Amino acid sequence: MASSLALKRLVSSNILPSSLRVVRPIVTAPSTSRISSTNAMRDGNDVFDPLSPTMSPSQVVNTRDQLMKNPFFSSSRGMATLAKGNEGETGEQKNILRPLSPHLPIYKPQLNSTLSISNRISGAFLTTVLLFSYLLSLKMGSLCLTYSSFYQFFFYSAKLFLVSASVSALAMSYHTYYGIRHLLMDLLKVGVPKVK
Amino acid sequence: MATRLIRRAMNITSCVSSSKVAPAAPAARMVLDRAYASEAEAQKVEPKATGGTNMKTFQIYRWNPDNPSKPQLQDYKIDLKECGPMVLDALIKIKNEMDPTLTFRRSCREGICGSCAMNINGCNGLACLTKIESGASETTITPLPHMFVIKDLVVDMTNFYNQYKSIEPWLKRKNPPPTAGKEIPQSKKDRAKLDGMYECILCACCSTSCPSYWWNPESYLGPAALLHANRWISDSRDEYTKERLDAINDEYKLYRCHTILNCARACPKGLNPGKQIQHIKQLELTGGA
Repeated sequence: MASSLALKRLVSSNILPSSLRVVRPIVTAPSTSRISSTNAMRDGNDVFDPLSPTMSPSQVVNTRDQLMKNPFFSSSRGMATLAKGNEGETGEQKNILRPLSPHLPIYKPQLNSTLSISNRISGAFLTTVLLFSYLLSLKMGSLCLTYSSFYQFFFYSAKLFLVSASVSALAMSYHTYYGIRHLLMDLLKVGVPKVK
Repeated sequence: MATRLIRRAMNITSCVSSSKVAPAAPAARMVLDRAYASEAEAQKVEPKATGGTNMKTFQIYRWNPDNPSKPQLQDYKIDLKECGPMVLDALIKIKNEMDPTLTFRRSCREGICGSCAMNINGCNGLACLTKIESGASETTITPLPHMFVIKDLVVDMTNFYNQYKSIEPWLKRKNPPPTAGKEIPQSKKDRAKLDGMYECILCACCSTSCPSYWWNPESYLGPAALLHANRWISDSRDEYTKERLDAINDEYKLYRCHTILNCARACPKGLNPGKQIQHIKQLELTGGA
């Protein structure tokens, strides 16, 4: 259950665009998030999140202001706000979306972080194997008989079974060893890596 | 006279092109004026690679809020023979001689204030303590990862400081000190428990190196705040240990730590926040010391 929870969190945390956070009222400085963390590299790489609308920054700011009923939103005719015209302009100028500094693309992978993420990946992989093995082994018969394309696919990919079995054995062993190391480190303080 | 007219026309066009030339009477400007350079332009040095130089390219993250566009990596060439050994020396040299608009935080230049924390060649560290790598490879300098950029290498640390404040980093007692009016005594052994935690300069290198903190910056406290939480939990003079442990005994505040241990690798002072977090987790297990 923990690994499926982790898988869900991994998926949600990586896919959920930070533009959805624009809707929440921000308590701190007038800066909202924008998905341009991967835009930090040399010009030309437009890696926009597929779920995000391609709006210009001022459009996003205006949308946010509308949702937040920001008094600095100047061009609101229908909204009864206390906005003064001049102040609205300067307020809107200050509401620039700040980019997020690059993280995953530029951070150097280290031994400890690589081991940790491999543990997570192996756990996710083993979870999917576990969940699909039920489908495969118990439902294979009825599945193949109803859908001929599945039958074809499984017939031709039956040789891959041995490869996937060894891969999942590798994942299982790595996950187990990492788990034991984790337990030892937590409970007995054995093998904690020295600093630098 | 025709030549004078031509010269005046040339003067006017040169006047228009170089905006720094002071207007003078046309009679006094019989010869073509040279554009007066400002002091910043006079100090501008165009580095040329000759036999006696050791050029190194720095790729520095640039983003300007006054002219918002996509953030870019800009190249600067520095002669290492005319530059100090640390990355901060290179940054200051670039700002003085090549590009005054480069913005970064710095103060003490000796690794005690924590202002110049940034990401150098993929690893977080203090610019004043990180030596420039010798060799012809390019050095990439970006701001602290997964933080909102205010300008160039300056990031918004508000959330980080708020998390530090939330753990109440001050001494809390229920009873007055044993001898009234005097200090609260602490044995050397108890004081030694604080070693490895009090030296933290809140540079945010560790928290911004933690992937768990990247994905949950607002709910996870981060290694720096948790290191300080442990510092106050382990302080023998503090009497609110149970309450402090209960305050962070939360799925998100403490247990987002998965012992990735990027923090210990990133700390420029050689501290190990991961070890302190493990200590907190053990205390939580045993029900609060």
